[in-house]
Amino acid sequence: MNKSEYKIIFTGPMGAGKTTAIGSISDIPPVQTESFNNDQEVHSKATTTVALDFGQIKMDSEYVVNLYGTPGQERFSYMWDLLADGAMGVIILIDGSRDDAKDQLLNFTKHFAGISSSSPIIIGLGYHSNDVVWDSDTLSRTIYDEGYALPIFTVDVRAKEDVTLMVDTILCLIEAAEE
Amino acid sequence: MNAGSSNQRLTIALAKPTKTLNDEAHTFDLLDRFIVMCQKKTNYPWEICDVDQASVIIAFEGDNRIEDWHSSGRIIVLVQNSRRPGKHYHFTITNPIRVMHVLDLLNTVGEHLLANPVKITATPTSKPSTVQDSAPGEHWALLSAIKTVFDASSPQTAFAIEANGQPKLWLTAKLSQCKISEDYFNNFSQLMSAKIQSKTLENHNPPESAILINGTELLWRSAIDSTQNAQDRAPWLPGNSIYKLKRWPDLGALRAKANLVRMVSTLAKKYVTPEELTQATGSDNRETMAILNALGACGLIDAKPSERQVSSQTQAKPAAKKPEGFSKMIKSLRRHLNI
Repeated sequence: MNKSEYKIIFTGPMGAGKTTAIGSISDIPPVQTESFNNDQEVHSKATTTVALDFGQIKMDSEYVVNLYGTPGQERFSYMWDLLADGAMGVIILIDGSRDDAKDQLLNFTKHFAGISSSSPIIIGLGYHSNDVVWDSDTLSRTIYDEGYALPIFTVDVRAKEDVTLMVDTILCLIEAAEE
Repeated sequence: MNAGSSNQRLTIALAKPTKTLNDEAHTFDLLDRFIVMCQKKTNYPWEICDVDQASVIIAFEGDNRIEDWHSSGRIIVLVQNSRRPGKHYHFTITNPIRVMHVLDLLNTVGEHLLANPVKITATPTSKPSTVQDSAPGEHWALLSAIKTVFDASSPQTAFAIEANGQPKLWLTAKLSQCKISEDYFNNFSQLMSAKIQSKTLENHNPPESAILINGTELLWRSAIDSTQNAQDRAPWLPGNSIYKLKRWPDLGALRAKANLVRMVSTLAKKYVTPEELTQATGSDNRETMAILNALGACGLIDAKPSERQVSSQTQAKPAAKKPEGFSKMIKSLRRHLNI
């Protein structure tokens, strides 16, 4: 029997936690396309995703939800468009301890809202250090002023329940739109 | 200037709007709090009193009692939503209102009033019956106090909220820094029943034992806990309305459960009555009212007058037909993720 396939996209700048988030809910070990990170000025991590991350939620014999993580660097933005096409939802992950989090949020929001206005977009705000440079209320007001009333949730992507909160919000928004 | 150089008493009242629109109710609460805060800090000995006794009345534009008050000799301060010259009234205050505007206003009007004493020639008409009905109930006192601090503009201003004469909560504007007394941390509901007063602090100096508490969570939790039943609408939430989400609460910080996510998602998509929200999400009526009160307290909800009536006997309408496979997949995914 052929399975019906759906997909959810995890995107955001380098080092925001996309690979970790997929790993938190995937039923298979995430497939990663990591490469040596030669953008050390942008983020100091040793490796980074260059094509995509891939995980799967295998519910039963009928359905599967594919989880795609996009590369973080903007030079791979052609991949963002390819991956997001037809997605049931997009999760943008942002590191609120970085000075440039607001600019990154606006860049990603504008890009992905432009690809599909009908797919729900959820923003997950994490903190990779103890510095809270940007809080969720400030960022929520920022994107609201730009015309986007999108959910911004403070999350720890290592925690399964935080990632499922974002997935559940996608599902609820799809259901609310259908009613 | 010597405030005692005239026999003129400096009496001021804030007139509750006759129509409680969403933004006006909010501005009213804010102004009310700012006047109390500024009263002792102005150059003049202002007394806050009822409208009937006041020489100066702060009133919202569009209030049909203004002409009566004005013609009886009172000074009117008009609260307006855009900066433009007042039609008849010398003094105006424009939204968004800041505490410094109120301080300046009290100084300017005080100076004017002492130089030009007023003679009140007639008693204005009595308060509209809606005033008493919509006055905050005792159990909303804590949330009203916290909400006032949340709405304050200057992040440097610190507040203490006292219960029974002792500071128990220490807050800064926008609730960017909140601390709670150790003895009240695990027994938050004690604060609900205490006699609440808020005051500004020169130094933000809670004791070392005070416990850090998330500001949004504090506001949210107070609203949820204050809602006693399905009819217990918060004073700033307009009644007989349909509601829609303006901005999202941080459901991550609030550690939202599935039902809250469903409610907020429904509100994000369209204007609904509380009854429709209850039906769409399968929640109970008290929970729906509590969430609406909490969203209203945080300024995240928009309201407009309801033109539709939902009978309590009305059965939930059959949902529009959804693509069969998609609904099934969503159900299956929720089960799989234990949502």
